[in-house]
Amino acid sequence: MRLPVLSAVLACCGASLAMSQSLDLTLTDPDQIAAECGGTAAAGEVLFTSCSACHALQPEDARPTQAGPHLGALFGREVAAVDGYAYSPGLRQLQAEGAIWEREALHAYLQGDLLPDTHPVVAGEQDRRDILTFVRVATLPPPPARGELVVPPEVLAIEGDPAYGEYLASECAGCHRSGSGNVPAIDLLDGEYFITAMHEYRARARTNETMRLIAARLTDEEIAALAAYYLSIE
Amino acid sequence: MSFDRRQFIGATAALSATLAAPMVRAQARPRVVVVGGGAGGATAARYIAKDSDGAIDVTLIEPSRAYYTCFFSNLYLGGFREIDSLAHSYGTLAADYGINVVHDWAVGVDRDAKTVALAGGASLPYDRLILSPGIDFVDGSVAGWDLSAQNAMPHAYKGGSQTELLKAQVMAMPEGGTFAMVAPPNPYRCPPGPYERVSMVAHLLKEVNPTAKILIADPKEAFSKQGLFEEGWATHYPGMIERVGPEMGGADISVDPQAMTLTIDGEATPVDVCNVIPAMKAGRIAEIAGVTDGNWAPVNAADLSSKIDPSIHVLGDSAAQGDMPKSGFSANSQAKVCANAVRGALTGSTVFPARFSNTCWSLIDTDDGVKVGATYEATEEKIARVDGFISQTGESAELRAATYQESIGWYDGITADMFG
Ligand SMILES: Cc1cc2nc3c(=O)[nH]c(=O)nc-3n(C[C@H](O)[C@H](O)[C@H](O)COP(=O)(O)OP(=O)(O)OC[C@H]3O[C@@H](n4cnc5c(N)ncnc54)[C@H](O)[C@@H]3O)c2cc1C
Repeated sequence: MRLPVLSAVLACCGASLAMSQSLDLTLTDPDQIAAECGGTAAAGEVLFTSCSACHALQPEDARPTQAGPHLGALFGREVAAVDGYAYSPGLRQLQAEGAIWEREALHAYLQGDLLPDTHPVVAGEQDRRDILTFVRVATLPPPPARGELVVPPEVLAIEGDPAYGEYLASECAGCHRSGSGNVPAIDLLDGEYFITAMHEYRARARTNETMRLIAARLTDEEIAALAAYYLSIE
Repeated sequence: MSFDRRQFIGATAALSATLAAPMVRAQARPRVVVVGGGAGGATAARYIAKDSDGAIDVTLIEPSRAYYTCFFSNLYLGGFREIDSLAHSYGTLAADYGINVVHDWAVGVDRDAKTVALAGGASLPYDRLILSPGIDFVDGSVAGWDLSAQNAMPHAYKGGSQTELLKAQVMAMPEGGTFAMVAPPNPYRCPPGPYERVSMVAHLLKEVNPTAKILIADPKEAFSKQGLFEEGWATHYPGMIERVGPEMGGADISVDPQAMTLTIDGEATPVDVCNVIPAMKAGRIAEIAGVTDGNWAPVNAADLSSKIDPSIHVLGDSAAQGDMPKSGFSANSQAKVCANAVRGALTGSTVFPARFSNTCWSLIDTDDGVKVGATYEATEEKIARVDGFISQTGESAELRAATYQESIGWYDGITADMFG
């Protein structure tokens, strides 16, 4: 009876993954994740002690005695994705529909609204949020490899504001300067290369910690603004 | 030229005394006076001059003709840099950016008349005053030490001759002698600075005087990048460095510059070099201007304006701004936010939201570089930390070497960003 409703939930939130407000897979910053999930990781970690008998957070920590699958990279993971695990018919059905775990679906699952009686219910609304925040932070998938990340054409096409870009570039100028060697010059880079590189830093596909940090809080528009500024001074 | 200019200034000042000030200021070229040509002040002056394209009259007051950076001064101690490579002139700021560089001390600020008095006697009017005077030392914070003892026991915590003096003293240490450091209490400029210094002195001593010892008296329980430094010291300089923390009396010390002793918890130790880094406070001119509260000058996070006088901005080490460490990187970052806001206030240019960042690199030994960094935002209350990272213990030699190379690039970048 409930399944069609559940599929509807998943269809609206899961199907259009990349655009879904409830699943921004690029988030890696715990604070941003906490804001998005509406919980506190520290509180969730305490609550998770009731879950850990059945669930490991990462595949390498999974024990054969555990009743539930590991939760590695759970957000964005296909339903019933862990090989060799005996899933319930309800979950198998969702799997057949190509459903993907994301925040709303997980919340409904923990609440007992999605597939009642297949999973213990977590009664408190805030408790569910805290647990999901913690699990999300603790099970972040490894960053994509450099070169693996494709910046969508509509993001590449964003027209940046060069005046804002000039202001933002003052942060870069503390280390990068024209023609210098030890920190690469960035003022003459190809626009698409520059934008892709910044997205790679933001997704942690590049390793420099300083650049990851700087890129972490740049929006798509701000990256475009920087690119527009650097193009304008060529 | 100079006559016309004085006439012009005099006329404006007289007018603004009688007319509604905003009217007059809207017609004249607005004036920004910057006190202190260091990481904060030079950057602010350069950005305001550069981005306002002559619409703002920028004066930079700085007594020294050459600015010797404190950043990388430890690398000079370790033998990785020449002292001359740390010196920067104000020539480009004057020649290419049209900044009026005045080599003098600011000795007074009249906040009602909005003028700055110089030691040479001149009085400069301002619409906005930016203070970035760095630090001064808290009198009496190290028993037995005052500024008159800075030759016997150098602080080397302001750039230039003090750094050269300290190095000369290290080189002159007797075989197997003791280098002592009195580390400062929080908050102070460059949190990892004293410990990077210990690393660099150890590096030098390992080459020229390998049986020498280093003794640190430290009033702090813990210090910046402690795990990284302690790991590095154990690897590169085993047995050479001893740190006495507060639990062992590191906060209960005195020095005798004549006898060359350091007394910790009542026990006097003869030392050959004693690097005394006293407690710090805002550069004196901030106090004279009346914008300090206690040792530091409280500021609003969005534009670094003083919480006491909105026409005055305080940057860098002198400011009590919140979560940013007192570093050259921070001062440079704050200066750009301030410059954007000051320009907006005086010329109506767009003011973009404040964003700050900091990274501090330290060198532990040859090609063993580490770093710590964070991003910050402006809240109502303070500059608040957003996110950060720190180098990890046990990193590969390649990564450490790359981090050191990056710091050299940063040095070139920030000094170009300050001085053009
Ligand atoms: C050993 C050491 C290592 C360091 N390493 C690093 C590092 O690796 N990275 C980093 O980011 N930071 C580092 N720092 C910290 C950095 O040097 C300071 O945080 C930074 O210089 C602060 O900038 P500021 O503008 O506040 O002051 P300063 O750069 O000190 O500039 C102040 C200027 O104001 C002038 N002045 C003072 N009073 C007056 C007056 N009354 N009238 C006119 N002019 C005046 C002074 O002459 C000076 O030039 C280090 C510091 C030390 C001591």
